[in-house]
Amino acid sequence: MILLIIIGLHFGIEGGLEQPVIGLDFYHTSGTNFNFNLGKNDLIHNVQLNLSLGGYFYKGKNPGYSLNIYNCGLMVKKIPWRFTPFFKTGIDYITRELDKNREWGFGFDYAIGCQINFYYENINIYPSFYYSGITDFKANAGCLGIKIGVAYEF
Amino acid sequence: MNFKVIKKCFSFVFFILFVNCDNHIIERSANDYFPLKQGDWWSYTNLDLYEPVSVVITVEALDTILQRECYPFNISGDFHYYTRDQDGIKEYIKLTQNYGGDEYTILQGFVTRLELPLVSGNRFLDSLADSVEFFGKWIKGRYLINGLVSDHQKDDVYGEVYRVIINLSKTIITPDSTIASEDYFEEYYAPGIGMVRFKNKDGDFRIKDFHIE
Repeated sequence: MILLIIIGLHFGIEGGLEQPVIGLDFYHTSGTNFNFNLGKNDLIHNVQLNLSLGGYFYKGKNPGYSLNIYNCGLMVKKIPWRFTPFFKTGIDYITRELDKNREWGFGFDYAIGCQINFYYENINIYPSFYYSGITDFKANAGCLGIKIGVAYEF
Repeated sequence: MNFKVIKKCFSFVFFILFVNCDNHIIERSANDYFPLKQGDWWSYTNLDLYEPVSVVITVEALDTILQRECYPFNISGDFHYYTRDQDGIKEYIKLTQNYGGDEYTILQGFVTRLELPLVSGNRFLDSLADSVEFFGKWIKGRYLINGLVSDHQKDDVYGEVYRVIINLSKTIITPDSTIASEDYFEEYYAPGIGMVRFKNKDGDFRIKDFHIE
């Protein structure tokens, strides 16, 4: 049973850079992100479902300021294509800090993009380009990003 | 892995967090609290029914002071000069002293007027100090600004509004005398609008109308 669950599972790690374009560009210069994900292929619909945990870290124009977003999300992408569209949504714990003074809150994020898949045996390497948005249902902000991911499939 | 269970868990967590999104942290992170463009204006009025006073602030065309581009703020005829840099808003300050009918500059420069972005609990402190010699006598000048972003509150009309408490201190010391003045006021800043209310020794002023370019 455990073997059946493990077969078809994959795990991966992603990291990349983001450039604020909407809203966040007032006070932020650039951001970095990383994600750990664990997922399984849904061969009926030919999609891959991933649960991911990660963080987005933005540097402020003011050197003492930073915005950190800790994310738990669900990503869906098409499996068999070389150029694969993906969609991700999740919930976020957000902190902003200026000279050790901190505020926190919650938000929702979403991302839509495209990744290019390269396979070497069980290893999948995929550079991605995407737009990532975040909202608290009153205001929206967004970034353009690039990232590279490595996944191992059992 | 049962994806139906995952979907139900996510729906539940989304619902819980939807309720908790009420503190609008993205609104505070992704909005400009000090719009600074030529043509912006804000009109304020005090809450005194018997002696109503209006204050109009207009941003004039760019000017250059001490090799820095500044926006002149015409505050009902009184000009203040502001410029923006990576740390926030700076104000041009000039302290002068009158001798024999002539005005002499004791000190001039830029000080932090408002550190941006606004984060509750943040304190900012900036000062200018200089001394000059007049006919063998030294005259010292000092300008000190002490600010605190005390808190933020949700306003039904203007959104997440920050309150900033500012204390200003000006001192001119001559061999014969010390002239000191202190000023204390509160300012309230709203996202995308700027200052929507201020309280000083002249009263409590609230925004009546505004225009942002």
